[in-house]
Amino acid sequence: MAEQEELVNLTIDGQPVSVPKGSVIWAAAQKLGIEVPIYCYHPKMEPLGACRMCFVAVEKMPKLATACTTVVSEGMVVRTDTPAVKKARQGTLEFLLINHPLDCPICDKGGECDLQDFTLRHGPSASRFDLSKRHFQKPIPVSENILLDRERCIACQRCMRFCQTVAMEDGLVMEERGFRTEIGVNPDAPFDSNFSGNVVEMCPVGALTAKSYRFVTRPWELQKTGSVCGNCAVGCNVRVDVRVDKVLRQYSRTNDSIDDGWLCDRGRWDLDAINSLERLRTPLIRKGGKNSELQPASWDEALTLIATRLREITERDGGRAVGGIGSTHTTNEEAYLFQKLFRAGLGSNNVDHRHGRFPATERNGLPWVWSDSIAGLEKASHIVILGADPYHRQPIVDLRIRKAIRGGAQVYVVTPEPNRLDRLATGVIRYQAGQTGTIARALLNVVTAENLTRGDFAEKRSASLDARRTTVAQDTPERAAEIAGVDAAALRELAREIAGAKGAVILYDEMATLEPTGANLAADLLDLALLTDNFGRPGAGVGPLLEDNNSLGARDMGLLPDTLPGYRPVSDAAARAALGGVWNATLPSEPGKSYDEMLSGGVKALYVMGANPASDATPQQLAALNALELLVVQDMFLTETAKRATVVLPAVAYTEKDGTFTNTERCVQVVRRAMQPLPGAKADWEILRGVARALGLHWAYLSPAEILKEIGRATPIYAGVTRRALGDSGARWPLVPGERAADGRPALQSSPYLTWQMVEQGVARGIAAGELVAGRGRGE
Amino acid sequence: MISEDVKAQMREICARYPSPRSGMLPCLHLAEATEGYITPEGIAAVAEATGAKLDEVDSVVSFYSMYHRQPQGKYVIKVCTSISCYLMGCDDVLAHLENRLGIRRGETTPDGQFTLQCVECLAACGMAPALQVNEDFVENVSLQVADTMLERLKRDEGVAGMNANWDVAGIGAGDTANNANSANTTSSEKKAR
Repeated sequence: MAEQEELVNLTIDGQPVSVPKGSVIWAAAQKLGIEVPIYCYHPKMEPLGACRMCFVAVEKMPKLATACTTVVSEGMVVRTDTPAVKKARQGTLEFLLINHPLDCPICDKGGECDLQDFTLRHGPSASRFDLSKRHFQKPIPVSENILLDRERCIACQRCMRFCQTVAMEDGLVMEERGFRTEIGVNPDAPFDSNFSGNVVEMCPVGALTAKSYRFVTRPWELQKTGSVCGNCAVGCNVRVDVRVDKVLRQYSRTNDSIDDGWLCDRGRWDLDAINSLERLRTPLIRKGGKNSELQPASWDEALTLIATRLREITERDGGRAVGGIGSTHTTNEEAYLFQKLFRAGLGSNNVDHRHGRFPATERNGLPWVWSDSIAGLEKASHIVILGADPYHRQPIVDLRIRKAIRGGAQVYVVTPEPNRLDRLATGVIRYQAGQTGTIARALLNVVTAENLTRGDFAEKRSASLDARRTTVAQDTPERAAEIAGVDAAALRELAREIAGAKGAVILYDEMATLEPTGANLAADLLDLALLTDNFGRPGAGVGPLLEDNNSLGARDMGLLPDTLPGYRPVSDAAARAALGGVWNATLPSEPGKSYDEMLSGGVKALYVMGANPASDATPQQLAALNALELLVVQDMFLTETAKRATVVLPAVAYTEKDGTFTNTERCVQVVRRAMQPLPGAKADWEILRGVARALGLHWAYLSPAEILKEIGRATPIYAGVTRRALGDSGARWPLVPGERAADGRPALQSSPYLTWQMVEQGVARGIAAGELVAGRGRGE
Repeated sequence: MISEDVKAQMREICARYPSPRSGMLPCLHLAEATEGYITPEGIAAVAEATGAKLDEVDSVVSFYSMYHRQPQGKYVIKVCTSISCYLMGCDDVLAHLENRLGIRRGETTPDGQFTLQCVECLAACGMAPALQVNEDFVENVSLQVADTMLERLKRDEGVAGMNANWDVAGIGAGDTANNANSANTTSSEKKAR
């Protein structure tokens, strides 16, 4: 924020406006709410000036100018309403409509089509063309999911430019020229990109349509709700388009700091689970004991059964005999209530989730979080992908890396397998699968052995630097070459690049930490970033790429056997007392059983929410699951685990409830209910409230917003996080005081990046953040 | 078949430019000269030499009418059908050539001698109607000129010589035009008017 953007003043239709230097006239008009029609221009791509739709009159310019390519200058006088402008727009539209089939009644785009809308507002009322229109075969597939209707195409080239300049993948190209121009695909370079659906969304006419959406609805029948995608840990902002009881598509609800206006195909179309006919619509219980069949039951029956059995078992064997496996898909509110139910309600720390292994790093328990942000990637000079595959697992992060490459960033792909970014990378290093930890230690070895450390942290914390130097003294790249089959020279060169970088971002996949060599991966890479001064500013940082939509939220909320919400150890008496104060309960001090321990006979009753451990369990674990006295499963489907359950509770999808998700870069975002919940099923937070009440606890939550308020009090790193503070585009924790708002209220702002001082002073323990907010935020 | 030698030549062409992509058009010419037309193999070789993606090279090939996707006749006659040539009667020329060659536009004669094509503007509007035979322009084409041209091509005499005269006639001042030993009657007639 330090550098002030230089503003340029101009007037459009007599109204003064100021926009940043370098803006085009279209953007200035947009700011004033004056419509300048565009087809080829797209604000996220370079101007082209091909469609000739956006003509405006600029004083002292001899001819009309295209608003999408003309850069504003000081004192410019623009008019969008002169007769010449109107005539030019009418002319362009008349030409575009000559060959357009006008099959609007059966066109999927009808109702949300720029050709329709601009013709209505700027077009001629009649055509002078009375000859035959040209015709093509209708439609032809250009990819597995997308069809092309060439008659409708107006050759704006948006889709081609997206494929070639944004996605930088094989895909759509312009074929032929002049009036023969059409969109095409080279059979040797098929359009199989993970980002293909964006061309359907950006097509200004109905030329490119999605197979899944063809002839399904009219756009005005859709109920559109702004929310967050639930498919992966990126948390792209979406508009959920629902018709009656089906989600038909997700469109982008541009959030520049996360998705930059794009969606991946998984987020856009992979909605089958929500619309599935297989979903559970009623609780199921085994009325006649363990070996009887699962039968439909009422909610009261099911909840009473669960409460009775849980009470029986805890009274007999104590809280240690019960455990819960939570979900990386449910909302923060639900994850929070889940662990609260166990810790406060049942006196047990036996809560965990899949991928829950989470050894504290040495740096004051800093959680494994991405210290920078997705948007920060654009400011990096170096991006290192270590053992990760963002193209398939966090696609929109991959797309942002491509943008960074266009901006000049050097990308190093260090992975066991070929990666979609290889082609665009400055360096590609391969190693044997399972050896990510070895690679990290070798990088650290080079940095310490060659005295490449630098920066504030390395100077002020030289003791930890010396300790580091000793621990990795043996782990040279040459040794890594022996163990991991990696090119030692390339690895050494990479370490030097990282150490000399203006700003390096190091990203690894959370799965790499589960490898045999990965136990200290997070700590090692954190040190690598700290000791090379690649930390604490945009475009420099380190962190994991997580898997699920609320992988980070699940951890933040304490779905871990050894930490309370906000990564405070359960052994920390002060933390227990503080949390116990909020909850009005005494909390167990002994760390609980982990995911694996609970699945291996460590508990007598297991409560599984939104997870399916049986799907990849070992035979021993399956036997242990079958031997449980009580197995409660709360899910949308009758999963492998649910089939073994004593009680099954039907839950709803993320499109059917309110709440918040926390994405892989600490951004907490609001999820909104976009449709009626499936009849018979309930949101996970409602179910948990029901179980708690059946257990005799006084849980009075009326809404997820109310739970979020409690999370703000109970979880220091979430201090100040409320629906209002999150707004429409979310905020990255911890919230820190910003400038006061105009009405004098304290304003909180998100932390786009973490500094090492924040880490050391205890962001993890929440002291700093908690105090910062507690002192000011009384009004909220 | 694109040999290693040709690939090396392509790399050498690309090395002449600050960005190797700039060498795409000459590389495609080389591919077409080597194989007679642009094959998928040719596209792949050019993509490799220029660092462009396959689909980008493909798009460029389709944009320019001087690259061909199928084997062509020995003489490729490209008749411009853009606005100037259209106003000056390219349709008549085209119909005449179709009759004389016994093929339709876009086709090649069975003996492999002639391919007849329509193309967008050849940038010879001042001498419309214009056509191109392989690398050579024929301008101010009347039906008679077209006949003469075909006769010369059948005798493998080429059209380059004729063009030199017309250039002098067309560009030069009045006197030279009258003196020129030109087969281009249309041009003379027009001047007379």
